[in-house]
Amino acid sequence: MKKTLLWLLVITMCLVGVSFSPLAAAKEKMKFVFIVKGMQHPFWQRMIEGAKEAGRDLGIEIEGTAPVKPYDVEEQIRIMENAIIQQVDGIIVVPADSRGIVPGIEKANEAGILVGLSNTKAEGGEVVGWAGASNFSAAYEVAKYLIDKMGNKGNLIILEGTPGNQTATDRKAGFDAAVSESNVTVLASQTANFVYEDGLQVMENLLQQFDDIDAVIAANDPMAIGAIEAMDAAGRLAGVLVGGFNGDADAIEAIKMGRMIVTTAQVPEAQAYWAVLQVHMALKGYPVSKEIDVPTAMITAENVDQWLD
Amino acid sequence: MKKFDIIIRFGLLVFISFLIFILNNNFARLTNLINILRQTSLLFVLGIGMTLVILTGGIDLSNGAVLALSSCIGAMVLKSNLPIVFGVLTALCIGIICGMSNGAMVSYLKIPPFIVTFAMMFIARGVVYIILRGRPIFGFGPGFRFIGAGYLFEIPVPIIFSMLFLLIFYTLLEFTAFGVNIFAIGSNVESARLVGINVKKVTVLVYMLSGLMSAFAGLLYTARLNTASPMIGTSFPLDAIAIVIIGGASLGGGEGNLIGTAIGALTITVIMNGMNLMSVSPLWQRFTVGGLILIMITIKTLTENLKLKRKTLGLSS
Repeated sequence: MKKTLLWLLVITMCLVGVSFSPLAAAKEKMKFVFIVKGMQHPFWQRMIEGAKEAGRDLGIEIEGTAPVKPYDVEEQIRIMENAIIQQVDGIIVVPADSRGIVPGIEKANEAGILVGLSNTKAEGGEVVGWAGASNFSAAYEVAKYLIDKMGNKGNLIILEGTPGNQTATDRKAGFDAAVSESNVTVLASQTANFVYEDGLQVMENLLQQFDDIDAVIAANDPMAIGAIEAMDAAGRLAGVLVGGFNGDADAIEAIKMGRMIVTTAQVPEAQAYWAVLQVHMALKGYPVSKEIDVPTAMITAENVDQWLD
Repeated sequence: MKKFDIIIRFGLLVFISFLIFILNNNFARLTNLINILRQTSLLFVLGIGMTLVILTGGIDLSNGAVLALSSCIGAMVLKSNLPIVFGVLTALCIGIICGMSNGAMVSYLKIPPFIVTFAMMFIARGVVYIILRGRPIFGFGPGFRFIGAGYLFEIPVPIIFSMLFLLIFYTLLEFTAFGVNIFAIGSNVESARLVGINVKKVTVLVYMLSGLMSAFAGLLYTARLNTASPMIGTSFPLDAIAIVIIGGASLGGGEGNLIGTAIGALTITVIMNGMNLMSVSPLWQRFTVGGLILIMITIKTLTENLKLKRKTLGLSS
């Protein structure tokens, strides 16, 4: 009887040992939560893929997530709060709003969880660092290319993004900086809210007002495509240079067909990879660069072939 | 009184147009007027469905998402070398199916329309993102593009479509039993049921028509843009509600009409056009549209109060 009890005790100890060991192992594997702005655009999905790639390489578990309602900063903060409760090792966020995200970052700071930023900056809280493309400098480069192609003269129309949106503000500032160094005239700078349908409609309206348009630059590709269709329908596309931003499939096709001359593509995987790496290194106690500028790739007629699928 | 209300709204549209014309003469160019009508017609097609739904006391927040889903799947069919009519029918069928599901959930499961269509908005948008992974479909044949970008007797095709729809749905609402039933349900569901109206059937039909019109608007946009995008139309639910309200409908149901919605669509388009022509700062554009909605609702409240006053004084006509 005593022997049986002893054996039972041994077996129980073994079972307990076996069942605890994976838990112990899991505790050693770090976990990061990676929060993008929304799941609807392939850009954000590519970002999560990049983060997961870094996770595989570094042995970190990455949970990629996003607000159900795209660009909802409130929901991003809720996701951050949940991550804090889960006591993850690091949170990387792509703020839907640079100011709005600050309370979330501060909460993570209080809980002692490291926060990294990718793609979009935040305007407060303690963060490990930021890895992304500067919308300002990329927009500046695109506008500069377009202005060069215009021969540094002529009439330009700017299609802005959604008013108040950080990305829209930065890209507009980049365009403005390039324009201010040139001799081109800005006929109008109007918002088309980053969407096709408004790009079309706003351009249709501007075509009524201005008879002599030499170039159009849009803060993203859907607006540029909308504008191109508006000009094409009015028979006024010939001779107008169009520039965009994003490197979307239809914009690349438009460059191939000569309907558009330039767009610029961010490399979201690289931005996400860097951000994961930054937080990882900070956790190891290594010094980390506060800002990592991930270059964008300019797509023009000369190199468009390598971008076609 | 109904006519009086429409006259006031139309008067305000004329007044705004005149104001813009004084500030910018390009406004009244024939090409711009046609441009405005074409832009209005796309918005109006969406507004028709919303008007029907709002008349029953409901709301359809899913129109933009249903539009994206139907036009993207329609576009996939269009890209597959089948005759154009298959793509068009696929898109319209998806619109009808989504609308019918909305209607069925509202009338048979008794879930509030706001919640049903809000959920449908996420479901339809989610499905189209999953299928296309966010990528647009672009480049369609001239046959299909004719629907949105073509001309018939010098008139843009979307304008002809919207005129046709105005005629059909105006007749449907004002001169058929179905139309009377819609107004009755919106005014008072209980009494509508008591007089023997099949409330469930009418409600399902109304949401179905709304889905159908969303899908049709989607085809117009796709043909006009030469692109079907899963991201299209996120602002459409609110745009459509705005034009219906500016047109004088009551969100409580039972009150409103398509002429008003047409005026609402024209007013918004004219204002956006004017602001673009004059290069008004983007930051002021939303403010202006919001202000307009407020003014239009105020007019409604004032005329209603006037009506009430006349009734109490025994002057009612």
